[in-house]
Amino acid sequence: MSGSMPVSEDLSREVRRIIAQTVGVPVGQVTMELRLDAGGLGIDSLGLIKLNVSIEERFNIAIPDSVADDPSQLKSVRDVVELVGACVARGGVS
Amino acid sequence: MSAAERMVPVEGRLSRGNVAEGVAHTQAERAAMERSREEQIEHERAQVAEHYQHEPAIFSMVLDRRLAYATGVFHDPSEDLDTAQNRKFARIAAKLAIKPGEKVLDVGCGWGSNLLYLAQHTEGVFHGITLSERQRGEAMSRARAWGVDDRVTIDVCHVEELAFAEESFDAILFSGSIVHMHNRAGIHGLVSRALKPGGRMLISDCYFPATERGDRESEATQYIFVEALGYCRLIGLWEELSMIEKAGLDILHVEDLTRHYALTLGKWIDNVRRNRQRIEALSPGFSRVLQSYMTVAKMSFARRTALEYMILATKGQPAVDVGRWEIP
Repeated sequence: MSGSMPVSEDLSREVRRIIAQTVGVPVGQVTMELRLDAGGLGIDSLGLIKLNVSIEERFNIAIPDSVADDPSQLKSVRDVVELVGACVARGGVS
Repeated sequence: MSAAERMVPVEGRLSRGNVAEGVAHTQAERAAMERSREEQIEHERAQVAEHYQHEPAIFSMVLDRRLAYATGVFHDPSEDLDTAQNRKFARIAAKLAIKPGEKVLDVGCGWGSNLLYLAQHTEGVFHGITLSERQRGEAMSRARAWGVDDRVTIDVCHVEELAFAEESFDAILFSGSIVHMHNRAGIHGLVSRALKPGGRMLISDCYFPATERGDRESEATQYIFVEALGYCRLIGLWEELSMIEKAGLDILHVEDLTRHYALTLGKWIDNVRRNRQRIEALSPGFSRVLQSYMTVAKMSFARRTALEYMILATKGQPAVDVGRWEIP
């Protein structure tokens, strides 16, 4: 997921807020480099799917099938933030 | 818990009169095996119906025009849902080969997709059962609108409580429904008694591969089988076929539609995305449930950790000659 365009601080904060809400931790603990899996936030495969759905709903975007069907590609909070940034830049659900 | 430890023979757990056979595959199935038959029927009546009691208007935004909540058959992934579902209806009609006046039972008829297609395209007489009053209402409303209500009846009824005369049906259909029914051996016995000689049974539903593939104890499995859909019992195809044969029917034809279900689910998910706000307005939170469970299911079919099959069986001499079906 590296090499994506820079994302706004507002978007980054909102994505981290959704992740924090999903996991049930204070948003301050959701740092950009934190891992999503058991090595960090402990989000399992179902949790990743639910997180993606919450994010799609909040930003009115469609996460590409290549990621939605294999969310384990998302390793860190930064990966999620950059993915959302790219999807938002591409436009909403048609 | 290891896979071997989970594969405990059911017999040891059947202290309360449950007549299930085989081994437990999932947490949901083990829980069902702890219930008596009557408790399980009540469980299915309450929990399975809940999903289908949502507004038909929601499912109209997600599914095809006839509201088929099962896989379509695609010739090309770019085809739309209506094309794929119409092909599936036509395929079911060809397999069941319903003659004028023949009696057909659709168990878990949903909003009437197959039942009404068959009523419109044959001269059979149709009886559907569903656990959802809302589904019954929508299906009968469609039957009246399409002028086939004189040959269609639908009751809200659990299949194990259906009152039927022996040898009274020419065809019995389960499309995307038998997966919600725990007592499979009992149901195949019921089907065998209810069918006339020459009668056909068709099942279109999902199965586990015979060798364990994927994590059947995962939160995702529990979510889709219990939280989203109330109760699901996926078994191996070999187990279903074995129970059908032991009930006295002969297997005529089995085809794999796994890839087609992944495509169907992809189309449904896109429709959930497009209609998210309208769905949320009718039932807050339901678009998330739909998209989450459909994504789990799509991944499972894409990876073949779950498989979709259409099974055709006959009681005695077959009414159709499957050896003459052309494979283009």
